Amino acid sequence: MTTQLFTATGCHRCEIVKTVLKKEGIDYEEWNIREEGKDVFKTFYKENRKQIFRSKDGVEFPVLAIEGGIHQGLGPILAYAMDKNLLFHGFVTRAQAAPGWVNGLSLVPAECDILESFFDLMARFTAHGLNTRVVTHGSHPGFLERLLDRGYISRLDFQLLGPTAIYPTLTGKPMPPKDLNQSLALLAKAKDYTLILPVSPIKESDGTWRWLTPEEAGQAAAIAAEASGSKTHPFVIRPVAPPKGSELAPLENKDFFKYRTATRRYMVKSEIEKPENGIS
Amino acid sequence: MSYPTIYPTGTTVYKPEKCFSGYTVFQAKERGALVIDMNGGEVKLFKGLHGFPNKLLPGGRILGHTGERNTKFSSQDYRDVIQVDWDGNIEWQFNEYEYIEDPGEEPQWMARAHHDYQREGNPVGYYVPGMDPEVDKGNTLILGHKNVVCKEISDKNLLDDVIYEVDWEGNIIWEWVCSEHFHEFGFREDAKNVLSRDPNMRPCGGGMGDWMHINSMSALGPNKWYDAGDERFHPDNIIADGRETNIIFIISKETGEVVWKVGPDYDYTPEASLGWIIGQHHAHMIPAGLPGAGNILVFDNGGWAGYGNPNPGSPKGTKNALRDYSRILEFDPITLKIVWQYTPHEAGFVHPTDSSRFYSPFISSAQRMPNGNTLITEGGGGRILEVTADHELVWEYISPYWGESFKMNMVYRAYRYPYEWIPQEAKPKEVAIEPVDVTTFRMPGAAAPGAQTETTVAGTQPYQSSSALCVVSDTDDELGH
Repeated sequence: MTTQLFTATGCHRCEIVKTVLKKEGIDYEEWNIREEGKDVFKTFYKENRKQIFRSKDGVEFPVLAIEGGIHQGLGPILAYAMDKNLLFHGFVTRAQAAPGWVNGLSLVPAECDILESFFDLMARFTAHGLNTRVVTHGSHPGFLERLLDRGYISRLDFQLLGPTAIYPTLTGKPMPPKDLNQSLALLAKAKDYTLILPVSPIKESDGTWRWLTPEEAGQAAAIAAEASGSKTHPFVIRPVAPPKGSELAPLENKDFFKYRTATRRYMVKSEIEKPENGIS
Repeated sequence: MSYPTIYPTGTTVYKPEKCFSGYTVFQAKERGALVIDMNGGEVKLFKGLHGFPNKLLPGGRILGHTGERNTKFSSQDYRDVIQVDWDGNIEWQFNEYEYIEDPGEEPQWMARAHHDYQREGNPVGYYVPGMDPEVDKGNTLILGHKNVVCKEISDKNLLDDVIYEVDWEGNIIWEWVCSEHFHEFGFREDAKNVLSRDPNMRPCGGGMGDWMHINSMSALGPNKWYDAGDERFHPDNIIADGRETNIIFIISKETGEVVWKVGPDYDYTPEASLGWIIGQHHAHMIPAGLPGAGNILVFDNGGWAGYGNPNPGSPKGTKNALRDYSRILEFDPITLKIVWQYTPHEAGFVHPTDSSRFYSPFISSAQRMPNGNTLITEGGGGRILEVTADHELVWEYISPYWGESFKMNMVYRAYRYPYEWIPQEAKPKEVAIEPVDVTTFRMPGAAAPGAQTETTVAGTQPYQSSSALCVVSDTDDELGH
């Protein structure tokens, strides 16, 4: 199969992708969808509609069709070119972003053996003058510090899932309190960041579902305050939709005030994220 | 508004047999919360207790605030809402709405309260038989501020209004943010355009748009409309009004949606029957048990307010509705017909030539009392008056307290409460004060009335009964009919 890269006139991201593909030795056939590639892409889109994301503004370019799959957007294509495992393990996912920004970058996966690839990728973004938005749950504090020290993270979304005892239930992996505390202590180094507390559904060992409680949210906020030495971090409570088939009733708007009250005791700027923006 | 240089302060008129006598509470400018009797006797000054406004509770308790945020950083943000007993001990307080870190100031929690709050048990904060507010439990509704950016309104920083409810323990259990309902207020395109450019920008805190400026907020309480099946008037629903937009509106407590409103425009039906309500204050539903229950009572200030097309009085379209006198309106919220009013005409002034003598372009209020009288705060001039349903003036008081830094004797809002609410004090003596005949009243040293000599000029004719001035007045109108 011939590798195809669909680009658009005036697309800065497309130019970056072309540079990186060339550097990584990946040959491709370019189709500019504003010019000679218009009909080719039309056919391609018809055949692969389900794999191509289209927002209300249209299809985001570039789109790379390569043996094994279709990759859309700057982040995923660069990750593919540099280390496919970054995509496989979820360090990079397709996400909408404002011009000049790369979203969908995550330190949540625990595969330490490809962290260096992620580091190189972040260095590449920075070299091209792009801003990056990275999500963390608090793991890999040493690696996070390296990224912050290099200025590779423009905006950090620090998702605080609850007290550390709850992490294995939510993520399947333990969160050593030491790691979480060290990561929280790094907030002072971040240029721009928000502590996000998702009010998550939790599946108990007996199979029943429940919501994270306001008390647990308060405990998480207390941990953040103590570890970071500040109670004035930007802090939002994020409503989360109940899992399908769980029969867990969604929380009502008024329920979130209890979470705000519980967290404000330790994080005084705690606010409730608007549901229309925040349901995840 | 044409006050003479010298005029009396304190109580100037008192007809005990026609009054709903009791204690009157108001914020004496830059002094504190002042409780006076009907003769103006100062029963108690809660010194330094701010009041935006002050409200009395049974048992000699009073609500107010410990202070205001530095006005360099915001406008009209009060730090807290507190309840104190007759001896000034704080019994309840709330401030944990927003943690404020102003440059050079001690970081602190603030309620950012302004203009109004209501304690559970009583929807409006004034005396209603059988609806005493709670004093040792219950929730409190607070009107507050929050800074937001809402591109739908303007790209500028907004000083938005919020209403929140706190329980006795200080937990916020409900919140409503005004800007989130912008599209429900029915602004025309001309108003939206002006709002976008200038959402009533205030210079504090680097500039912020006080776009709506809600100045009153109360629950509806039990009412006949809801009893008849009209869900818009659910007793828990909240009525508020926006001074800058000329809107009076009711929100559903359950959904937050605007379910009833008048304004922002009054040119067409159904609002046309009300005439233009401008810069109004203290719009509320008269509670059940009081004469006029279920009607909306509002101090329609006039002055300057609203957003819309430019006109000679508003070259840029800000505050483009103008009127130089005030009205108190009581109207039916279903038909929007005025059922009672107190305007310059009822006050005895020739309209419009003398109408501005009943005028407060800002602050002010109206309270309905059990005997059908209405306590009016004509706030700009520090005048509190009680009028009967027949518009007779039966009590009048002028605040003697001018501010040191703000040189007005303004009274934001006064309330009248029964004597029984302050059991610590014996019922005060009530001494009638007949209105003085100002045509003969003289200052010491001034000459007595009456010409020393009179000369009749031959050929002169009697004066016309019409004023027939440079402008048409309602005396001409009467002749025309």
